[in-house]
Amino acid sequence: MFKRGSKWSEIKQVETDLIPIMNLFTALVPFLLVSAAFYKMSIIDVSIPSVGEDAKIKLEKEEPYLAIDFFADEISLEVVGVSLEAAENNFFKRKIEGFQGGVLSSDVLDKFEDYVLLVKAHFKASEMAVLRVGEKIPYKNVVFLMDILRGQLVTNGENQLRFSNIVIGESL
Amino acid sequence: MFMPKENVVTSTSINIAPLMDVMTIILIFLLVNFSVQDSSYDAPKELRLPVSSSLSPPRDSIHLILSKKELLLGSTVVAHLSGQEFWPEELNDAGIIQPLMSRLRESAKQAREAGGSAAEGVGRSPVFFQAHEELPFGLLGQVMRTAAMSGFRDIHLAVFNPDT
Repeated sequence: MFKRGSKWSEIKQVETDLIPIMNLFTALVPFLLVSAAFYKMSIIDVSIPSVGEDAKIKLEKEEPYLAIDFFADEISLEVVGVSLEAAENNFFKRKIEGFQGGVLSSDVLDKFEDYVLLVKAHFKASEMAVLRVGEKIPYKNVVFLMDILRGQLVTNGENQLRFSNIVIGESL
Repeated sequence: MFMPKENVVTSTSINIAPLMDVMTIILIFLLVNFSVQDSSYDAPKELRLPVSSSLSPPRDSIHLILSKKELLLGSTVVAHLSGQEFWPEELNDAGIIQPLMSRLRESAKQAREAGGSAAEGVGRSPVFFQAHEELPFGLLGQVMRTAAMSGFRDIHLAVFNPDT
């Protein structure tokens, strides 16, 4: 028989003390907010060539490479390689003009990208681009060119860089 | 009928459950963000990095910072700029930055002594290079040539990718 006032009616309301965990949170949240990096950096991998006869011989044995001279008012382009025929060499010699002070318009960048894609389509195994830059050219504009040179190619479902080996030549 | 005021006792307590919910979400977000940080590199406030679409993360390496006023190796100032040129007394005849070269050679020597052979250690060790986006590339070229002369031929140019 059910009896009134049994243990069911004697349940006490128990409150969890949240103060210690609140203290912990108050200490942790400002610490993590201060040390968190909301600004992420990336890198562009470039290399400086070694100087001397050995380096020259090594360079000549490699696949044809793209040579870019970035002046204040012109970009001079060429494909260099021992296996290249004269006609090929002449075909890939180009100049992109129509800008001043190394400041590149979207039109110039489009022309440059078209050229890079053309070279990459013709010399698929080529991975090296040698970039020589005028001393007064702003750094950010050089990065625009490097971005186009590296680009992203999707080959067999894999992301690949167009020219993974960017070599910085001597200043112009 | 008169009732004394003291007998009416009301118990009030602040409900901190919603605050706990918010704090828990913030804490989880920050902990996850903290755990995926690739590197401890941080750009100085006055330095604006060039924008790029590169996705390659930085790796631990020797750290160079070129601002509009000075060149730092780690946190040590190794060269100064006035206008957009290095101080002439810090350069040799070939335009190499002398204080930087001596410190980099010291680092290379330490790396060799720490275990790696000359072939695998120095030449392959990259330099993580942060430079202000508006500086002329000639200045960066001088720093990179100095690094190459000291045995560091791989340069990782730091850029900012707004999409990451």
